[in-house]
Amino acid sequence: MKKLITAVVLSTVLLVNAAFANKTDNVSYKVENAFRQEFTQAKDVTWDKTDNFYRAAFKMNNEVMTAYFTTDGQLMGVIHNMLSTQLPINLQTSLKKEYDGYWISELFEFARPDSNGYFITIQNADQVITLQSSDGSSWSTFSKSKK
Amino acid sequence: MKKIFFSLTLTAAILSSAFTYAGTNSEPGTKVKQAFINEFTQVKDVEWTSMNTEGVYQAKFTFNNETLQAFFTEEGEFLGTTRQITKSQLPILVASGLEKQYADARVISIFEYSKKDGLDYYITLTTAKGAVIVKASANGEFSVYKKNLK
Repeated sequence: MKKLITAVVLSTVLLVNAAFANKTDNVSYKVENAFRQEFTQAKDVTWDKTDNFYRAAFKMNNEVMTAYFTTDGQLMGVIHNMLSTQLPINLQTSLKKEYDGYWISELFEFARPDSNGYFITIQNADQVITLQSSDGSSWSTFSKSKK
Repeated sequence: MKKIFFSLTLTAAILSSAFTYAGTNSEPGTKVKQAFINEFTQVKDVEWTSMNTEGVYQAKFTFNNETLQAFFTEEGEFLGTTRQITKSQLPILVASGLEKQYADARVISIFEYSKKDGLDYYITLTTAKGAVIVKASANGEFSVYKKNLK
């Protein structure tokens, strides 16, 4: 159930990405305040807006993050594109053991207010696989397709 | 109850070895070495230590250019891995929670402890009141593991 909720929220977040068109400095107090409470040390913040969502790109610990808020100031999720060496060690060793010979085409961390997960897309000559981890210890298949 | 006590003792021993060196150089049996190979393929130059906790071996090695310690029972059961990491390697919820809850503290060191069934972070901080080790789950739940360290 938790995995399903994560998948639905993630799909929403990724789908609304396409709708963000214009940078804005006109961020509502509610959203700005929610952001500042959640990310107290955020730097270099830039905002975009659609009819229903705000997107904040910022730096935290020198890492670039993207946070998504509703217009009511509710945090929907945060995405952090990352390197495989930043993954928890069990996830790194599991990739090496089970998917040796695949290369990584996308890797990001997806955090909601109460849970944290990782999504990785790997491929070889024949197929593309997206794996997800919600416990930081093991991968499960999110999607798989032939090339 | 006995199992829980053993698990707590073991966690303390593993963390103790992460914070300070504990144990003596000692080669384990075939079962442990095979378990290591199954868990960490393509790893060479392993340094083995028999820990002070009876029947537990520590393997120190390099993986993806990082130094790791992995722990096994003498029966070859894999217990977990520790590594020292930086703030930028923390999950988002842990990094943001740390900045919210310990804004005035200075981070001294961070250890990731990966077990088969989960992941925890042990963060040593100095505050105006002294040093403290806090434990954080990957979902950003914090608790004090040890305080008033000297």
